[in-house]
Amino acid sequence: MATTDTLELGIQGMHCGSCALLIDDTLADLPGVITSRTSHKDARANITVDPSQVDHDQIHAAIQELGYRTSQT
Amino acid sequence: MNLTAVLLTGLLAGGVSCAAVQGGLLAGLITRQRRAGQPTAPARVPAGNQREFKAPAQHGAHPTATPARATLGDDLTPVGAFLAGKLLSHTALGALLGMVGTAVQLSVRAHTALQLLAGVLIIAFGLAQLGVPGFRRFVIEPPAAFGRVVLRSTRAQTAFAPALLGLASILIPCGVTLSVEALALTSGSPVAGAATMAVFVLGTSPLFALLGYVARKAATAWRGRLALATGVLVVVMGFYTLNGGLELAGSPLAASRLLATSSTATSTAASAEANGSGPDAIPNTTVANGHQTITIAATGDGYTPTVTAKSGIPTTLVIRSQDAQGCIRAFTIPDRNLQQILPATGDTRIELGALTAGTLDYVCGMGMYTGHITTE
Repeated sequence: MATTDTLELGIQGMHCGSCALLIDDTLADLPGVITSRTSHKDARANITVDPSQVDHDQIHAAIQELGYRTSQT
Repeated sequence: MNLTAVLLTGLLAGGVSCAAVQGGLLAGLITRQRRAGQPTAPARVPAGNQREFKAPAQHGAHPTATPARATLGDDLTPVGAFLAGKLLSHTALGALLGMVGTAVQLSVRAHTALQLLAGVLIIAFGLAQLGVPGFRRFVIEPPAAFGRVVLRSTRAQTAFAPALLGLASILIPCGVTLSVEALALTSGSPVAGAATMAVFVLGTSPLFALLGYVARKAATAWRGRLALATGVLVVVMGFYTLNGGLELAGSPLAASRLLATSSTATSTAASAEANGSGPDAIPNTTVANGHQTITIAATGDGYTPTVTAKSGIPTTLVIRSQDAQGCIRAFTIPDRNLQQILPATGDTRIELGALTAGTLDYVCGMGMYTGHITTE
């Protein structure tokens, strides 16, 4: 059974619920991302990944490319 | 209802609000559909988990950035379908909100309360949009289930998927959209509510297509300015709505009262001039056989702003409608808790009894147009 890793990221720049959905929608296309739950209200994303397929930098970059800033919490 | 302000808000908000972000969701949907439809797509990639989006910060690495331009013609169909779906669901919601608002606003008091509440809410959304400290966290987050419905619709493979996503976008409104929904609630009729939402969605379309869809994100160079302009407009709309409530409540803080206080001398002169000297002798106050008749006009531009009368005489108010439209037809005297729907053209008589010295205000159904009878 593959091991999983959980990331909790702070996300700045979201202005509505659609932003959170766009982040989840984009992360879902990344191989190795198992689940992603982003909250606009909390300015935070909880992401479960398979570390053998994706690393943290790729997650950060994918979110940043959408125009948001990320921080490790 | 001032649809121009709503249109302007839509035009600006299309680049920064949920409208812009939904362009990203639509772009994702179309990209996935095209990948699924290409027989040359790498078969080794697990279904539903394809990759093309390798994270290293490579400029233009986004899957939609390059192909979007090459296939702009092909993109028009899904973008049009998305906007049609969005227009349909938002217009229907606008009609529903207008209907609910009309039902709630049966009494002047309820109408006033709703108008005040809507005004405060819209101002709060506007301040949140502007990032004013204390309001940044003012967020009404839709239920998680709504988000799941939207995300599911971004993964559909049917030809109708863009239209369905457009329909579903009603489930994830941002503050700006919620503000316009609050306006629709106070619009006074299902038709006005539907028009409010439709004009807003149509207004968002150009920037949605340019920034939201093609760029898949609000262009950062413009984002700050657009967000600022949108926030300012929302706040202005909020104060406008709030003032409507204050006018209905007869508050001394209402704009017409504040203006009247600040220019008493001017208004007295205007009153003297207006009273009986207009081209159609409106307004006009006549006394015959111990009965006073006050005639004022209700036109497409509002009401006769001021008219004078004598106290202690039984009085009839005649409102002469000349192409009166919209909320102007909902003639309201807040102090009497009275609302009378006027014909577009024709006379309406209201018995006021013997007036006492002072001021009796009249306003339209939304508190936008005002006037008063000054009794001496």
